[in-house]
Amino acid sequence: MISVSAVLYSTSLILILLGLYGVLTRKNLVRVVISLDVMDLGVNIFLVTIGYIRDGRAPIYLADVPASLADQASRMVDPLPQALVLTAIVIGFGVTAVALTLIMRLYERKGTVMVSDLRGLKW
Amino acid sequence: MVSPMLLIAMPLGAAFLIVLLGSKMAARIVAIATVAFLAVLAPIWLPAAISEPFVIVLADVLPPLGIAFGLDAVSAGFVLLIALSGLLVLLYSLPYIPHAAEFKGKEKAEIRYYAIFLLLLAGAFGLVMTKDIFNLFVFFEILCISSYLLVAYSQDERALEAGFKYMVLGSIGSAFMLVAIGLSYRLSGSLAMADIAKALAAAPYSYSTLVSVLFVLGFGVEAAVFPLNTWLPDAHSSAPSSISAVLSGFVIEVALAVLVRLSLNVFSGAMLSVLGVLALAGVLVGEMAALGQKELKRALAFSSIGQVSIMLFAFTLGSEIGRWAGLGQLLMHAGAKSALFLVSGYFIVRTGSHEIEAYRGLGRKMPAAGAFFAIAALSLVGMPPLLGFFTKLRILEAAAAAHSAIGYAGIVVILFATVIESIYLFRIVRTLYGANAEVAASGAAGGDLPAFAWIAVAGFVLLVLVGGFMIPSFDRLLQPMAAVLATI
Amino acid sequence: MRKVIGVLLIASFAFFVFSLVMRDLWAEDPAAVRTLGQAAVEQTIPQSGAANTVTAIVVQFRGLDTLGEVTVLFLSALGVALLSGEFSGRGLKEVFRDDGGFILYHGARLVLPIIILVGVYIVAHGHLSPGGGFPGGVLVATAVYAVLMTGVKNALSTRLMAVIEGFAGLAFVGLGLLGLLSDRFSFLANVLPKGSLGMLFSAGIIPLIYAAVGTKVAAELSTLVTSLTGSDYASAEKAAQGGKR
Repeated sequence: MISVSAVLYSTSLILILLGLYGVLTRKNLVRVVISLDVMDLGVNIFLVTIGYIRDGRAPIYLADVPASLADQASRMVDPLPQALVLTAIVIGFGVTAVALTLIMRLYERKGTVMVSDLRGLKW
Repeated sequence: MVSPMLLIAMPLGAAFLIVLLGSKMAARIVAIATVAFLAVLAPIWLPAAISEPFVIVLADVLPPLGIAFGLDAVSAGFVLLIALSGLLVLLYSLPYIPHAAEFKGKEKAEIRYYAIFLLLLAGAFGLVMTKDIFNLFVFFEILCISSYLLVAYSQDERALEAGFKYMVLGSIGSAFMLVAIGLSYRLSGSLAMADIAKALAAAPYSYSTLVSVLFVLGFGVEAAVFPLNTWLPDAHSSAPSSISAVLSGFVIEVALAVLVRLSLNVFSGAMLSVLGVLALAGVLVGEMAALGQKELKRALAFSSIGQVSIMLFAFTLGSEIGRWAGLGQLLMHAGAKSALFLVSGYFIVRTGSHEIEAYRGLGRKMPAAGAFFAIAALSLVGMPPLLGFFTKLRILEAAAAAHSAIGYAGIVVILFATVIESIYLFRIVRTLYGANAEVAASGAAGGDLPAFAWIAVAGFVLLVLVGGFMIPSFDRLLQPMAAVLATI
Repeated sequence: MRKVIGVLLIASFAFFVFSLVMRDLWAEDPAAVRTLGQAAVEQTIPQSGAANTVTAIVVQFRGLDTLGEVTVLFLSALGVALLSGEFSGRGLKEVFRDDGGFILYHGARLVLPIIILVGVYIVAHGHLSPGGGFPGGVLVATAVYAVLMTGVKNALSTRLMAVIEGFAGLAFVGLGLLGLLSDRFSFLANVLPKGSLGMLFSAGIIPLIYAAVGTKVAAELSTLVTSLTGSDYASAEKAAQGGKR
């Protein structure tokens, strides 16, 4: 059987590579930003999967459940990567918002979002 | 003793306050007051941090559960540099920013400039103080995003394009850094740099190499490591000159110092040799490219690439003398390059042009600006008795003391670069004082530098002017910093 | 040509990563070394009084990261406002020329209070169930979008949003400074009483911080969309006049 984490890690790697490829080769600026987003998505999936434990439970203590607190604690997944991803998602969102605004401004000035027409964007 | 957490809390609070109040006058006063206050505290923290590093406990939770944070010799030295540079550039911004751009909504934009500038400072302070790798990432992002925004500030076509390119490259780097952080956590179970260092040392070679490479790719964009620095010339030349000064003056250098410190202590040491070779390549590429530039700010930007690469080379020699020399060069570059960019800002304002030819004779019309420019340029080249001579000499000494192939190669490259630098910098200075005064500078309106700008530039030039005579006092700061740089 | 280079780069990178590292990662058992996460799970209730371990980590154990995150969002909102300044009239404003039809118009207004209530609920229960300041703030902002989408005359006062944003940010920093001023001398220390597990008013300053965060996020996202669509008062008036002509 292929394990859950194998699937998730492979997915995240594929997403990161796809995103990277898109950023490097796409000519339409909006697609570059979308590729960046895909790359961020891959990274976030990677981070969350690091905390995965087989048959783990969500890391929230419930007060009205038969299992004792210690019992609940022993079966929780690792909560730290989830906290890291929370921050990473927000940061990625902020960058995407600003990038898209830059594109909108450029479009307004030049009427185009293709890299070839924007002299300054040759790598 | 006042808590160094104020270095984070005050700029953040001030930025929130500025947006809350929404008035230009309030923005200026709050910004200057905050940075001035921190600039006064910085020299008080410095000797204390050198003798005994501050260990700061956050949220009353100790590492590894909490965030490892502290102010040691390296942090305190950089804090002083950042605070003073920030204060001087803020003073310069007061008269300069209204000229920096022409677009509708300029008034409110100026308020946002001060808020974002404060956040840039907060990011830089946090970056040097943190000893936790994810916290490093967060402050790094704050620093980066503030720079992206400030580069695009003037919103003309070039600035928007430069900002976009910078942003995309930086974001790729951040993604790689996050993967490196994830891998480090998986290996060590902790986010504190000390724990990660121990775990990586014991890890299989391939694992630690992957983590190191990813991390260098991430930080390398911001630290302008060749070949990840393609964003630099466009960003520096399109940004408002105060921001160019800040970027070349300490932002790139802080990123570089953190990169070096982590490469020395946490990630695999093999990266250092690779970085050394890349550094030499960067020196050559940067200086040669600067030679052919017709626009002043672009020439200065390429010169920054070269100078930062010289610093990186010194750091990668692996010896304490090398680090000492690199830190000295860092200090000198902060002073000289900031002055050059600030002065060029007013050249642009007065003549309306970015091209060096348009400044012919400008040195006579703006005597103070011209003199400051000439002194800073001479220091950059390394003419005695300015500070630049001593710092460059020290780097050459360190390279010779390394007795390695790369050390000797470095000496050759740096000497060659010095020749190139002197060619183009002297050419610019000659143009400034050119004989044909009627050619271009007659179109220059207004007088010399306004008062606040004058004070700011004078501050930076003072550093390189008298620095040569203050080497012993600098050494009392630089030597502990060089030693602590090799620890985590 | 660039595509070929791109593919080669990617392929070599993929091969590098895969061959070196992937196998080691696939283990799903709890880590051999004692991890930060395990320590957090054990320390959550004693140190913070919250039932949600992720919240305890985000707000208390690694509170400075959250402050940084809030700052990044603040920067983005500032940046979008700075860069969108005054869009000269093309683009998004054309999208909102009409009122979106009967269903959208009345539906948005009907659902607005419910969404806001759910958002506030999620923010308030951040320490007890999944959620917290960020998702809650996004929900409240979504309610605002729904109304903004129903026509060009709908405007949001960016001045008010800026004041709320600034206040919420100062509140977060202020709560942190409380810790600095207390006898623990530690920024962002949890200095208020922890209460009993599972109650709404428990976990010290955690609900307060999340309240500040939620408010800030809601204000910022509303400002973001307002800047991009030109839905602030000045532009809305201009657009309304333009439509009449």
